[in-house]
Amino acid sequence: MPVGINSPDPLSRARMWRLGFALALCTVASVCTAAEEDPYLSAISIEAAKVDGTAQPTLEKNDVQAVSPEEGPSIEAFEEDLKSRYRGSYTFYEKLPRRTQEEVFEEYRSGASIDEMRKKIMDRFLNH
Amino acid sequence: MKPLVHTPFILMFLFVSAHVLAEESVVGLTADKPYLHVMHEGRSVKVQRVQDPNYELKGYYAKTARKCPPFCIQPEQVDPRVATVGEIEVFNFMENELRDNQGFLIDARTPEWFQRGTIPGSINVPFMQLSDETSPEMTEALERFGAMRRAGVSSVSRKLEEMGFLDGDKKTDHWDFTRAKKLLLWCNGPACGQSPRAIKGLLRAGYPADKIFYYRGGMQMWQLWGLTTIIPGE
Repeated sequence: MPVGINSPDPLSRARMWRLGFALALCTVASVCTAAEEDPYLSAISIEAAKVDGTAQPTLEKNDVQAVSPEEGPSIEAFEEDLKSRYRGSYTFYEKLPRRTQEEVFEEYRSGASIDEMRKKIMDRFLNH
Repeated sequence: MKPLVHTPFILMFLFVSAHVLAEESVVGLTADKPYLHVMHEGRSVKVQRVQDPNYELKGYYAKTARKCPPFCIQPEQVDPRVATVGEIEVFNFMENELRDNQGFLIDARTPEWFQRGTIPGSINVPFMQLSDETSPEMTEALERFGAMRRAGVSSVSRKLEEMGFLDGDKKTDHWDFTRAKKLLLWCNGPACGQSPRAIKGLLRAGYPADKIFYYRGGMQMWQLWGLTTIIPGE
């Protein structure tokens, strides 16, 4: 029976597996050892353990203002920002029906970029 | 009758005084910006300062001394080509580059630090991933930042780019950084070397220096100003 690439004999296949396993083991071991031996990384790790999350007054006083999208920036703030930074887009935005303005704002509040919003304003302006 | 005539004026005075006092009690981010919103893990987070005038920083970030080395005071500049920025610039970055998807605010500390609290809007890219310009982690990070891999660039083309005959301003042999995003990196503060290491790694990889910003104040100054921090995943 010819011995080809697709049908190595069981002995050589076992050898390859062993070699691969040994190589993987060496790699993992060397990475771990490197991390353990890097004094800077060790010092950082020791220092991090000294940080007590509950001892950060900012977290308590500010109450980490994580809010849901519906509590995000107001439409007034959005319009003010648009007006001050993109006067041209704001001019078109002003001419849109209130409902469309709200639609644009909703998309902005859910995280869309201002560039996307400017394109949308133009699109709505040209097609309304 | 006279007291009754004055009553509306007294009431108005009290109302205006209360309003002025309420206005004065706001500790804003800047003179014209009381707070801002930034997206963090898909949520809108309000960034503001502690409003309590008697607030004092306590805990780890109130410490003035750490063992040096390794936690030594860092120079103002990581590299002469990289701009060092303060809190106002971080606010502007949050409101412009982050909002417009044109930049990344990078917490360059190890994950164990990141998990203990971060600046809202930050993503965690530990400095180790940005230290070796040839590592797969660096490749992955650069692609995430908007850099594009270049393949099969002839030496002649590269030479012409270097000489300025072809557009090669933000290109290296292996990367095209033309559309790469702006990066604002920070770590624990003026005595932290994690973000400086990351910045040096990025520069070695060819990342354009004018797209990198260093917030030297880091978490320590952020907390000193009583600014909002957030625990990832909460």
